[in-house]
Amino acid sequence: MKWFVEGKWGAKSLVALYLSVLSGLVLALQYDLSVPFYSTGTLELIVPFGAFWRSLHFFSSQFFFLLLLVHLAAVLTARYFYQVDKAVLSSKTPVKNTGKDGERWLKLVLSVPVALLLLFTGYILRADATGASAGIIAENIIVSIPLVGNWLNSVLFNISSSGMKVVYANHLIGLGVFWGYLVWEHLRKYRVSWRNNGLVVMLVLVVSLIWVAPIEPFSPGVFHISGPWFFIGLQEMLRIVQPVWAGIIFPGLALLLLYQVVRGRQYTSIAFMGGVLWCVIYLVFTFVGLFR
Amino acid sequence: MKTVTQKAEKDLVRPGRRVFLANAELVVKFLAFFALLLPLARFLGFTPPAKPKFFEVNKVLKEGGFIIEADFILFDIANEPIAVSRTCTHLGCKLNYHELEGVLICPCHKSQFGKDGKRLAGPARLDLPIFTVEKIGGTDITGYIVAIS
Repeated sequence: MKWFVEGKWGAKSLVALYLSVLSGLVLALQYDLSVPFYSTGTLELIVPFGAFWRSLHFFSSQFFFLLLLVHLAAVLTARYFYQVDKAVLSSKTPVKNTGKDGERWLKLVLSVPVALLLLFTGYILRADATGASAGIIAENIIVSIPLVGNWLNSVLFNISSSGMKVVYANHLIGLGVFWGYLVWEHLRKYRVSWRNNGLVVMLVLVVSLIWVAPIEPFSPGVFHISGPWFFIGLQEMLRIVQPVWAGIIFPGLALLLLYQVVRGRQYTSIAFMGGVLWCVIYLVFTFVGLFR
Repeated sequence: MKTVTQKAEKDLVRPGRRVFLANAELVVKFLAFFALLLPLARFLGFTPPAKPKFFEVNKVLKEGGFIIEADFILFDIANEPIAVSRTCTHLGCKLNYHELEGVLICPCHKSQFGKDGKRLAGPARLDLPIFTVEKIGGTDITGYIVAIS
């Protein structure tokens, strides 16, 4: 268990993010948001090395998010089972518990859904069968939020009115800057070198060379479209639960529980068990969706 | 003629009248303010229906047949063309037509609709919009114009 808790998962995740940002910048020089699916198709098929850059961007982003989740799991394990901050284990120096502790954790907890949105907007920009459907579903879920739904949609997606413009701006700049703001306090303490994470870099490169990033053309005979892997559970849930409950309240509950656990002030055990139950429910829905 | 002192004494005796008048004035101001806000809110909150887009289909439906376009499916039901929207009323995914079962199916959350746009099953609650169709060519039909609203 100690190897898991002390593993430098955050650093590995950050290196994958570096690769994702760099490959994303390369892709952005060719991507045309006025014809998004055509543009993705040309990148994949006729632009020299377009398929490689797409794969590198796709898989490095997947690695970033997966390693971020592992990092989060390691932090939770350290805090819950060892009653210690992960930074204490790695630096051997006590972490100052200042009055800003709550704000620090709140920002870090909020950075998780923002990272997820970064990934998700990338899926939408593909504008293939999965991306287009995912975008429209997200827009409709956001609009279903009482009072602020329309405003939030105009800031985050607004696909039906302005195509990919808002999504592109958010994927390229808005969400990245916001994520950076949320994690700045956390990351500025650490220095991550490419050399120390060569294995992750090699792994991402090899995977990108072997596998092709997915692209699914529209087809009139398709009767099942599966969303991004992290939203398969949500997709399944939306079949039986109202959008605002499945898409906003249920994920929001996970963030509340996570905040309560990492803050570790009170009701930590209840929040931890609640979090485990949440994960089990979401995994069950994901498995049902996977085998549909 | 009442002196100033007498008037002040009277006001002291009946303070409730002043308070009532002051409150009434406040209420009237509030009502006037909201009376002005209401038309403004109604004006700003109204979204005019989008201008219909006319889409020309240069094919002819076979008896009981269908034609799939990007935004609608054109069915021949009892020798009459019916254009049904392909946008699912649940969360907006693009519906596909299952020819064997004769139903439109949402690939995202499995809502099902009949060829007449009526909701049959799944999480969607509303029927599909039906678009107006005009035949081109009079008695010898050469195609259709569908007004997508």
